[in-house]
Amino acid sequence: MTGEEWISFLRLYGPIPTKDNLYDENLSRRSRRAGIRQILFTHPYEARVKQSFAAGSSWGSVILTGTAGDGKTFLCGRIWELLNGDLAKWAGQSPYLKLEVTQPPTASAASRELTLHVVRDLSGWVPPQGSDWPDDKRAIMLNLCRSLFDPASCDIFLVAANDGQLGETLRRLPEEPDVLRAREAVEELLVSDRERMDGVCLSLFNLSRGSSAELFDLALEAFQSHEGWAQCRAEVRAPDHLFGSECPIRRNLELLSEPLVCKRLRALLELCDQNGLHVPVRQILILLTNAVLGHIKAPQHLMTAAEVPKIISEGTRRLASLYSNIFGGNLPEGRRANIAIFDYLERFQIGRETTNRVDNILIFGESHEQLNEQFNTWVKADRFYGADPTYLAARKAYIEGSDENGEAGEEFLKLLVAQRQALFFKVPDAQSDDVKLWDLTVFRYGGEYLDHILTPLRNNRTVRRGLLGRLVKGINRIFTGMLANSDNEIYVATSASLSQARVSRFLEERISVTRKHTGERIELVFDGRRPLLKVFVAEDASADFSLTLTRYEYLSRVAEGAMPSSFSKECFEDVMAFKSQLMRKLQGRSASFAREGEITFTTLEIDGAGIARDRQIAVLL
Amino acid sequence: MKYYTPTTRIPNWTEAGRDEDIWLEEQFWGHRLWDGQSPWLTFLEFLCVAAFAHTEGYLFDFDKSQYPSQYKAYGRVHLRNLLFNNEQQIARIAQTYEDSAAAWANWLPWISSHARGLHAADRDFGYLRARFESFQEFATLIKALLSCVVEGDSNKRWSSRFIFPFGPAAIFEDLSIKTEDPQRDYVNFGRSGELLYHMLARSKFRQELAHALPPRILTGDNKWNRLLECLQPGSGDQARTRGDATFLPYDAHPIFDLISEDWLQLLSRSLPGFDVIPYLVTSGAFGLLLYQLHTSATIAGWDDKPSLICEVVAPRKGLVRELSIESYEENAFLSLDALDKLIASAEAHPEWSSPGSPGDRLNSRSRVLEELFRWKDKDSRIRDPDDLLKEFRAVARERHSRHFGQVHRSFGRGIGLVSKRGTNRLRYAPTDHFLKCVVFATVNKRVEFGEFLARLYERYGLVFGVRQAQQSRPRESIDKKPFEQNALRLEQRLSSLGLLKRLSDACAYVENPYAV
Repeated sequence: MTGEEWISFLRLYGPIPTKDNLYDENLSRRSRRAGIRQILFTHPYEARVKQSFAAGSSWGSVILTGTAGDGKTFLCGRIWELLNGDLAKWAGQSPYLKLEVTQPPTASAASRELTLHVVRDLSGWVPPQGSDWPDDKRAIMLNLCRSLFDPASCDIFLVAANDGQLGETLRRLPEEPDVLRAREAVEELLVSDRERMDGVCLSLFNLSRGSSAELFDLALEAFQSHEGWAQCRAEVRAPDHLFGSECPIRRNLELLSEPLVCKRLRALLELCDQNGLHVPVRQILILLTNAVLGHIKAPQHLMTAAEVPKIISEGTRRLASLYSNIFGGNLPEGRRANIAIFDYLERFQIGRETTNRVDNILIFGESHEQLNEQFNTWVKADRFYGADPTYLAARKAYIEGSDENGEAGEEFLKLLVAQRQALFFKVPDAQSDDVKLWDLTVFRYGGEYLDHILTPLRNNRTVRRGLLGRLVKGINRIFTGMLANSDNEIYVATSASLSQARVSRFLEERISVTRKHTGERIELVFDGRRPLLKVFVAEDASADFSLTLTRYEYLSRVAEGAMPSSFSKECFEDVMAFKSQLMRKLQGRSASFAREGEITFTTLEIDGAGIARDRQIAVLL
Repeated sequence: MKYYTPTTRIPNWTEAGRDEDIWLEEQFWGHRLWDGQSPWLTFLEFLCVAAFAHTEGYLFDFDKSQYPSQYKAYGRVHLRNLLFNNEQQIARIAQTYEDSAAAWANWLPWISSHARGLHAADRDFGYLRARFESFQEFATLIKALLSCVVEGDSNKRWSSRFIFPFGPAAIFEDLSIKTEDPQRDYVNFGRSGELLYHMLARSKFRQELAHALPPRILTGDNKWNRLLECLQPGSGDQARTRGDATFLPYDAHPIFDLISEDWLQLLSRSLPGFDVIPYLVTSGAFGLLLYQLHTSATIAGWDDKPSLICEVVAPRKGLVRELSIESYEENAFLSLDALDKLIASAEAHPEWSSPGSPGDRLNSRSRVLEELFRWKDKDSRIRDPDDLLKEFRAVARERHSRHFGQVHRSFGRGIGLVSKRGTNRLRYAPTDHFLKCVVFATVNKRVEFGEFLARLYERYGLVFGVRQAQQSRPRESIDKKPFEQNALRLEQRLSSLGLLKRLSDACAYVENPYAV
């Protein structure tokens, strides 16, 4: 393998159009032909899936589901190996394979001879939409459904399918009792995020529930340590050739090893996870490859070894900036929007969000007494992607306003986007508060969410009281529809028992943040994947609100003055649904506290200082 | 009608009080669906019937729903004077007089001279004083109740304004109150609500509904209803007999069952407090709309079930918008097609073509029209027997266009199904509230998105996605892309309402957060 061959092999991992279901197979074929090792690492689910076929466990069917590129087929291959399946057969094209296996004896049962049916790509195997089931395939599927409820069945299954396809396939089968039961069981497991349920011989692994940040760590390590890079280093011929000192590919790879860059990139993936956006393995490899090889003007927008000298001599190196490549900035907009990872990262709006401070550094920093140092360190000192002559000239034209038709100004704004994106990866932690780093994204509270919510919760520490208070304040503003400032108790207010009114002037209940003797309290806990706001109405009864990044941002912004229903309709509806949930929990509690012969009402008013005042009014019957 | 079971109790021409000069839509759809009645007013009128039947112990009883069915409705004139007649006065006095006694002393004489619709003997509001600790507290609660007014922003006369139906004490009929004696007119309560009651009472699920509905509305076992009771003197409110002219021509109809099933589903959801009521309102009026539409289609001789192509509002006009406009217009005129069919049926009457002189023929044809539709050429303007039907058709069409022909538009807009949003023509473009209503009514726990679309089509004829578009227009070739995008927009809307969970790029579930 030469360095050049490695780069051209690596481009296969990039954002170039491929046929989805052949992706894994294509790569292994190319890998064998070129004699270049694939970028491989142990899949986070591998141990758990293998456990289902380990000696001592009772074997049953396994369904691997997840988004395209999650490694479903790849994991099937690992199991095939584990059970000594014929590798030549696996290298063939058939999506359906059969294997006779012996289940070792368990504590309660003797060893068993089983047939393992492997459907390694369900979408390539089921008949296309609108055509009928061939008899053999229908029989296999019916057998699968039956076997799920028969512990003594000699047939077990290993199926790789994306969840939509799986549900669709089960719905297309004849409506027999076993099919209906299987459909229900699979749906329940999928929606409730569980792997197993009682009475069903099935383990369902939803690979999309894995952590993207964890995958990123694994993939990054495998990516960087590939021997292809060492080969590139060994072959350096001149500063302007592949991996020479001026080479943007080398520069990008080095940047990717910088702890700050890794940390920020990982933070973005972590936040994607917290917003329920799962990034599969394949997408992470696209991200890494594009980050290093991306160039706006290269063929297919990815550099080859041969391009490097030309890029350097033509002075278009800034078009290979890792900081923009991370967001797919080298790709045309339409292409970018179709690639999940860039679609997800786009939602942070990094490069488009900004503050006066950041723009002042970038535009006036050079001649500004206080901003000068930051400009020099972050922009001027960067020989590759900082203030190059193009930038300086465009800035000059912009400041002097000399261009008449606004073209130069527009060009400069584009360059500014790239610089803001770069700053997101350059500002060190020590200065991130000062610069308000996260104001460069739409999630102004993103950094706080990571450092002061997620991290403490993961480590079993308590979240700062002030942050919990702010959430409570946000909730109060939504629950009451008024500008309440109270942050030590939640006001459950209604408009005469209508919970969904915009403004609610009647107080049903208040729930204290600090624990009371009744057990009522408000806590932030971690459910294993996500922070959860738990509002306890009694010792053992709570209403739970899953605190995604978006919801955290929303409540925080509402607490600081944003209008609840205009800022995010979706979050507003979520909080209102939470109010309903809370009211249901309270209904049991507040049934009868009225005295005989009178009824009481509690009105809620918010004074000028945002202090809530309630007043009890009694009516005699 | 061949598909529906006709009722056996039919109004008699000679009955007192029946003075319609045409008996046409009334005969086949009922007396009557009234376009001037909003979904809320329909529901409130329904409640008047239901509250009475509940008190009498025969809620949704089939036999009691047979023509002529009577009920008694309350006026609750004291309450309405407090809430709606010069509502500012209470707040003004509460502000002016800090001392409670002084405030009462000022207000009580004022109200007793300003109250309308009450005889002198009933104009004493002094009972209120003993029930509240202070005038200020009384004023605060009145203000609070005024934030619970139904359709608060409409510009109706004060005697046509209504409080949210917390319970029986909040249920009263629309009146014209000018003198001491309130009059019932049929401008706002036009019997659509009464028809809705009879549909439910003749539905498959009437017994289940008779158990499910009262605890949520009719028993009034909540403090808001108690408060409204406290604001009324407790006697002196005369309930008046209503409803005997109302007529529903079928004893069974698939739409009756559809409405009652939807209501049962909605009532079984765990929506807290009174939150279910706005959905019953929408669902009820939607049911009436479908009733008119389906009955019209059957009369017009359609083989296919009517469909409603819905646009989930797109930024630009496109195929879906075009077809939704077309679909709306087709449906809005369907009752007219049905009307024409019915009128034309006169020609098939054996006496229509009986021979004789023009005068004889005119007479026999007049008899046919009178027998079938109770219509007479009063002024005897028509001389030529061949013009008679033309004249009748013109008269009937004109009458139809004024009210009955407007029902589809009016109800559709009222429930948020029909709108002009983003364009200048009416079409089906459902609002969030409408979408929530159908999700709450049809989804038990959760359902896969594609299946949800299929269910909405099967149940209501609502079309959002490609497959349903193809099914609803089997003779046309439907361009897929616009409908795929339409379904995608629906998905996004549901997701923004917290009603949809996307598991991956390939799989989404519609979820009902209130399913139990």
